[in-house]
Amino acid sequence: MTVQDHLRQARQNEELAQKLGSQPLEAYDWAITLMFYSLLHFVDAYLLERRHIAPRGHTAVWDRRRGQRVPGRNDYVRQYLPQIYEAYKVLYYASRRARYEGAYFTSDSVEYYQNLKNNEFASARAVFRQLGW
Amino acid sequence: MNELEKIKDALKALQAIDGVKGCFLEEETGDILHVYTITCVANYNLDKQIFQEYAALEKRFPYVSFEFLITSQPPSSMAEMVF
Repeated sequence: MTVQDHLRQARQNEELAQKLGSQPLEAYDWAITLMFYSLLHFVDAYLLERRHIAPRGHTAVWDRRRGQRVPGRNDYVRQYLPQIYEAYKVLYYASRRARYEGAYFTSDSVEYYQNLKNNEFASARAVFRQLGW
Repeated sequence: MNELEKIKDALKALQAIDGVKGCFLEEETGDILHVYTITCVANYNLDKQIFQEYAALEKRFPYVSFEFLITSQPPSSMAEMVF
């Protein structure tokens, strides 16, 4: 994917997250997942444009053949985008839980989604807005 | 006390958080350490407290690659129980 492809995908995910997180859909598990994937594509656009890095996965893996650790996207965020690292990781954990554990079907889900949207997503999104994204 | 024992000791701070039911640790080659914290419900304020402990751990052991998770399900039998 190109930088422009990542940005298009990021914005599309952001718009869809808004729709999923409001009436009539109120699908908070998917809204949370889409917020995370919106940020992920902003991150990938940044890493590609500024660092010429295209991460292969979320987390570090051990390359047995070369005997070395290969960083994952989470490591690159920590290294190159420390200002969004905490927010990014919170959304990363929440989206995993949404996808694999069906964690956001309770009455607390609206509040959880709103908090993520207004705090973690908003603060990280602001960083990319400063880049004109 | 070796490094792993120090990390396990530091993870016990999670026990003080109301809502945390347990903690597991799984080592992977290359200093990659998976930490699983078990909670029964997905609660924003509870999760934020756990994230703060995770962040403190990352600062204290910057050379370790932590992969943290908060989950309602106990991890694989390969993981070691911290508490």
